[in-house]
Amino acid sequence: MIRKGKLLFVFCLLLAIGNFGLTSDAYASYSASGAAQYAEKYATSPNSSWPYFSSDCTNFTSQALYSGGGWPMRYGSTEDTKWYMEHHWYGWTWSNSWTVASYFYNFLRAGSSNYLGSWKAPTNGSNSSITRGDMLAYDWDSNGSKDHGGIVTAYGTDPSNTGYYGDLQCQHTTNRYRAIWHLWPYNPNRATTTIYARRPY
Amino acid sequence: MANNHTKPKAIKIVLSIIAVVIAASGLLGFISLENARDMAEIEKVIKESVIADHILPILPEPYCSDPKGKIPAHVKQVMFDKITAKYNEIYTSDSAIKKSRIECLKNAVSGQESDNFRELDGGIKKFDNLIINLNGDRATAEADIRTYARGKGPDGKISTPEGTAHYRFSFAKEAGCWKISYEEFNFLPGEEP
Repeated sequence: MIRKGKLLFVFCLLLAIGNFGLTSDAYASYSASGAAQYAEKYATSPNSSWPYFSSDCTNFTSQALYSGGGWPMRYGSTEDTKWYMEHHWYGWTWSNSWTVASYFYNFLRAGSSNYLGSWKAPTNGSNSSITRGDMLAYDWDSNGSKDHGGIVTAYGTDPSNTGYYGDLQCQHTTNRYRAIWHLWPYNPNRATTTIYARRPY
Repeated sequence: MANNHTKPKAIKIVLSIIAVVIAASGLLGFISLENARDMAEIEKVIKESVIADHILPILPEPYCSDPKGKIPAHVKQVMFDKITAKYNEIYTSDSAIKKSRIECLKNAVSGQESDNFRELDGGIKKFDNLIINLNGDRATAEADIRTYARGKGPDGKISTPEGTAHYRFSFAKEAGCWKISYEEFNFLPGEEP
């Protein structure tokens, strides 16, 4: 009788651990270094395991969050609670938040990330508010809708001979490896640009 | 007798038709002239606005030459006032984007001192595919505009980015002048920073 009770207890314990294992995935913590490493690896040579778009910036940062950062896909019922890219026998399906900068930012804002700040027309190389693994959103016309995204991956010298030293990002669309975070040397409309940063957790 | 009567009547009818046609074409001409004037004014405001975004942050000499020099407060204030005045002239009083633009441009001025950076030049390189739709005192417009900038970084290196973006504008007439009520743009594929 006691043995049966013990077995039942062990079974329940295992079940509880198993359940925790399943549900804990939804609250998995973010690996900032993993995301940054992924982004650096695939900045200029996109990962062929995923679809590639002509405007690939958000697809790229999403991949870094998921494949490198260990963030699980989400399947909420509203635009800002779902975030996925899936392969089916008939092809790929994805949420807007996986591929479109403004939707992705709204998704980050809706949960599991902290707001770090926003900067209008910045040109400073070092930004003490951001670090490796943080998400950057660029609003070229400062109308509030985010147009582009990148991920902070390192601190050092922009390798494109711009003369800038500071926080560096990787991005797609125009594929860049370790570009200075504010993109000023590449952006003819820097005076109207606002950049936002968020830190996933 | 009947023929004599018909002749002047026919002439009268023909003359009336000619008069109506002349009046109508005159009116149409007047309308198209008005439209052409509106369109020309809208195009001018678009160009002024885009150029303003690029040249208003440029400091006067000698402050624009040395990226590490100090910029006196009164010089910055004059530039802030210029920015506010220009955007009040270009944008409608209730424009949703004006406030954000003014803040951006002011930061673009003061950031040059704190970030050891100097804006040197900028403007429009190419202006294409302008479409304007007039609707009374309101209008919408779009165009592909290639802009450029030239700036000096902290170590004196000069950057000269340029790119083409698709711009969309909403216009409204205020005190008889066309002004921008809303504006947005995004880079064309292959042109992003």
